Amino acid sequence: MDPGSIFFEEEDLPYEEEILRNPYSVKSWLRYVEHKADGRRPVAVCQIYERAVKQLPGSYKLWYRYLRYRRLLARARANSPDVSDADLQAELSVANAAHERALVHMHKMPRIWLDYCRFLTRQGRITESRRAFDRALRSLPLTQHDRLWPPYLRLVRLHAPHGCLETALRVLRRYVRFKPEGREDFVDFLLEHQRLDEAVANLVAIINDDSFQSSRGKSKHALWQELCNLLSRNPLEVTSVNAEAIIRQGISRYTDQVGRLWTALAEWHLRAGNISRARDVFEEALATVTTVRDFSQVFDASAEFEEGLVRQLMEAAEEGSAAAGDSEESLESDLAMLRFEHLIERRPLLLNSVLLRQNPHCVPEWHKRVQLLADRPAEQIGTYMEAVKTVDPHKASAGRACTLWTEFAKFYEKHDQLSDARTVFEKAAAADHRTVDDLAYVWCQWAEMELRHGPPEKALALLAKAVAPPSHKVDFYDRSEPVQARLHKSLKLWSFYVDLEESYGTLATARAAYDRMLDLQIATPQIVINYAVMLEESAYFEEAFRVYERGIALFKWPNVEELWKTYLIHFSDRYGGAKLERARDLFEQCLEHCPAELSRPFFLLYAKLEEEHGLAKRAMNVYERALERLPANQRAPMFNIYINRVAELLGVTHTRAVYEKAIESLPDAEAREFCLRFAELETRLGEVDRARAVYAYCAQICDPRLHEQFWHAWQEFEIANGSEETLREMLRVKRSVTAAFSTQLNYTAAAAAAAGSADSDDQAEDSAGPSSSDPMRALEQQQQQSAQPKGILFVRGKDQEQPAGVMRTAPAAAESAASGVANSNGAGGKANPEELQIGGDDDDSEDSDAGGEVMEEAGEDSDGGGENIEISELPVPSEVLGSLAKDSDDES
Amino acid sequence: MSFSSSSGRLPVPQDLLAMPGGVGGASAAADDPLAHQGRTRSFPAERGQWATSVHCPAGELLDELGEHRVESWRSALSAACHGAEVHPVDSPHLSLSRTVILRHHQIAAYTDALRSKLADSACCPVVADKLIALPNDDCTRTFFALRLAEHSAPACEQLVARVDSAMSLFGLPVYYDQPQLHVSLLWTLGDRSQDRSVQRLLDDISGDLASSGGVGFLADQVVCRSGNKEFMFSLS
Repeated sequence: MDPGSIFFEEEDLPYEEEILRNPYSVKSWLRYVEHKADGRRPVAVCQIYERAVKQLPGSYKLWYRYLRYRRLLARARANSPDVSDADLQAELSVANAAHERALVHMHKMPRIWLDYCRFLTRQGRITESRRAFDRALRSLPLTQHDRLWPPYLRLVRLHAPHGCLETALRVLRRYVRFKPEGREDFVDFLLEHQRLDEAVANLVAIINDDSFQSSRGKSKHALWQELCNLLSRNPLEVTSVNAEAIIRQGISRYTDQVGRLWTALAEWHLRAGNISRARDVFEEALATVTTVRDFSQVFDASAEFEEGLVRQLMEAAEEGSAAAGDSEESLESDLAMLRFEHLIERRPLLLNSVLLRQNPHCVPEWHKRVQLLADRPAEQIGTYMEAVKTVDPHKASAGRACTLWTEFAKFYEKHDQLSDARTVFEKAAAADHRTVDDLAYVWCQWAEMELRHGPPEKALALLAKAVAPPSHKVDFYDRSEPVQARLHKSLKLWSFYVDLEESYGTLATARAAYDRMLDLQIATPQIVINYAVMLEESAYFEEAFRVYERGIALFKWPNVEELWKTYLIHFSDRYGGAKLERARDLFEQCLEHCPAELSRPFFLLYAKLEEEHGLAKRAMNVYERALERLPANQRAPMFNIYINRVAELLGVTHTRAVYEKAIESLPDAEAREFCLRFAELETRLGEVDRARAVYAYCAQICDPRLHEQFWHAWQEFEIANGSEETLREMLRVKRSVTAAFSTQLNYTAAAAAAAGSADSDDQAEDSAGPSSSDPMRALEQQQQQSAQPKGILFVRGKDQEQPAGVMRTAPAAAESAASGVANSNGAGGKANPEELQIGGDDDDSEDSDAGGEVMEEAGEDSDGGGENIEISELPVPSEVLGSLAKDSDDES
Repeated sequence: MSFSSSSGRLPVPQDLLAMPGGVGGASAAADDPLAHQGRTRSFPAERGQWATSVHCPAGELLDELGEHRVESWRSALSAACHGAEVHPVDSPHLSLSRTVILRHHQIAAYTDALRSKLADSACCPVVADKLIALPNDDCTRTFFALRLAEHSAPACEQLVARVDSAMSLFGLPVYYDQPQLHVSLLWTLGDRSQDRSVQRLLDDISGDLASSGGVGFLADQVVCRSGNKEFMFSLS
């Protein structure tokens, strides 16, 4: 700038001077600018700036401020309405020139570039701004490009739709090279502008780049899907990449999308107009997918495709027939129709294939496959063959692999090709099996086939071969040995073999077979029984019994029960009483180890044997032993039998002892029953007093509120056989028993409620068994004894409910009761009301008299019959109970 | 998958035939007749099958004949058979049964039965006075055997009958209807029983034997040979 053209005012002088003094001081220049920047004369400001940057062209500070000032100025001009367009353009070009000049020195300053670019962009000078951006990119180091690209991209994006697409693409391509992460945006841009081919290429590049991190958090998988969608939708547009290869790669890589991807591939071919290729792809897909979900997806698409094809051809044919009626077209539509039907028909088979691909060891699916191929024997054979080759018996699921072999053989058998069936069985016998049982199954099936078609000797020889022992000793449970080596100990095979030997072989061969089974220790009790029965049928009785003995030695209780039973029955049948001592030994041997709960039938058999062939006394002895041995819940029926037998063998009178024993040893519920029957018996025998004693004894276990039946029976008895006194006596006992039961603390409301259903209660007691009722009973009795004095009071309390007469005598009753307690201290609380009747010992007689009198008075009507009753009753109970007591003594 | 197809029949897959087991498989031991002088098996060797036969050992007979006599017969017979090789029988014996198949588990029961059947049999003196040629059942071999003289046959036939009764207990085939009791000494391959020259030679030898009153031994034990096991039963 020419120094002469410098124009300044008066007040500027000091600044000018300072500048003259310090022309290289940025500060003084800035001060000057500040001084002038009042907005009145922008030209002057610009002049000063110009002078400044001329002096100091390397000062960023000055340039930056100057350029900003210029831009502001230009903007102000642009906004003010009264500025002409030409003026504005001039101003702008001056500003731009200033920028250009600045950049000569400031080309390394990104800020300047950015501001310039933005300024140009604002001016709408697209090409210039683009060039500016390009220059900026060239001059700035790579590390600072980050700041440039966003506005640059904004620019090109903005103008891309308006004829600058190609330029925009080039810019974006450069950007993508600079920053690969921006590819996704680029792809979107390309898609937006229908540049599918390039979009796909970029997408492929993204997917191939292992280090690529999606800025939108998309997974590789999602990108794949996007790519496949793109490819399948636009088969014609995309030419740069091999779409088929890509989709196939996707199929192999993304197993969860296989169905979709296959469909996409087919669609790709379809859209490319390649119908037969599409069909091939569908077929291939159906043949390779491994999940039912993928299968149905592909199948549905395939069916839809075929159907669409059919429809299309039909429509075309309709139109065609209207016009010409071309036979070739109708043929084509027929063919398409057939294809469609064929596809639908094949569905179950294809599905089965899918399941088999999923799990080739699924035995039922193989069987199903054979069924599906019902009319095609050659394919069925192929399927069987494949099945037996593929299925690993150790992995076989939902079925046994050996059934495949046997079905295979049966298939040939069904078609009358026995020799081939045999071949299959031969191979099956040599093949691997999971368990010995499976192999045995194969052999049994083979033998059964031989039985169906030929002489039994063949089956027999076959099984004999199967059970042949291997050359070395093998443990049956040793899994490391092949099943073939362990087969000779298979129970199944041997059972079948001995069955056949028994039916078709000779006795000697059958015996040899059975003996070997016993030697191998694989026989079951049933086998032993079969063996013995076979021998018996051939009249080899002693041999049969030896077999039983052998079997019994082999097994333990309770498995041996059936064996013993059969042995003993057959032995008794055979010898009857001829070998009684041996039979007895056998029974003793059997009962020695027999558990108590299983011993009943043996005791009965033993007793029967003794009754029929031995001595009645021995029989009774057996019954006695049985009653000792049997568990409590089995005793009652045994007593029944015993009583019946005794009545039959020794006479009714001998049953008394048994009854007594039964009543004594059985639990209360059953004892009651026996008491009633005992009493009935005595009544029938005319022994009224004995019967009465029994009733009286039983009364102590019969609560009148729960066991009305008993009391009713006694009453009936007294009405029929007794006198008024005895009846009264009975009522007295009843009352005292009621009192006794009500003293028990355990007698609760629940028990009272149960009184209505006494029968059911009895049953419950029966089923409860000894273990549950006995301790309870003992507890009750204990309480009853300890609460005796109190109990008496309760009697009185209870009596208060009776008619008024009772109340009068109540104190007397209390007194006598008290005396009773005092007397019976030594006897361990024997002051039970029942005791008055039955405890007819000499020591207690006074007691019972006194008690009797008391109760008599309580009964309102006092008469002198009390003593008579005592006299007539005394001897009988002493007999009854005496014998009982004796028995119990003996027992203990 | 390839099939071996034949018309009308369903095919059997080759894969199946190639699998181990059965006729085509590896388990069937290869039978090489050359390994045992050209003899072939009448029934295949199989696990669990025990070839069993009952006989009286006749080693004493060989002693009595003298080794050189048998040797001279052998060479003469070989010449008569047009140079075919004639082998001596390893252990000469008087067969009392056919060779039958027993199962392993039947052996013990069978020998027990045999023992009880032979329990009270007496020793029988055996005299042979004739050399004959006998083909085996399937005519693959010919045995040259000393046939028992007619007067000594009945005692042995009784033994045979006892053995037969044990056989029939197990459903096994009994001895031939018209038993030609004999002690085999030599054998050769093929059926030579009808050769004229052989016949003539045999007749000569038989004549010599008969004139010298035959050779004999005392059958005092019966042997039951089952596979590689031997069970002896002494006769009283």
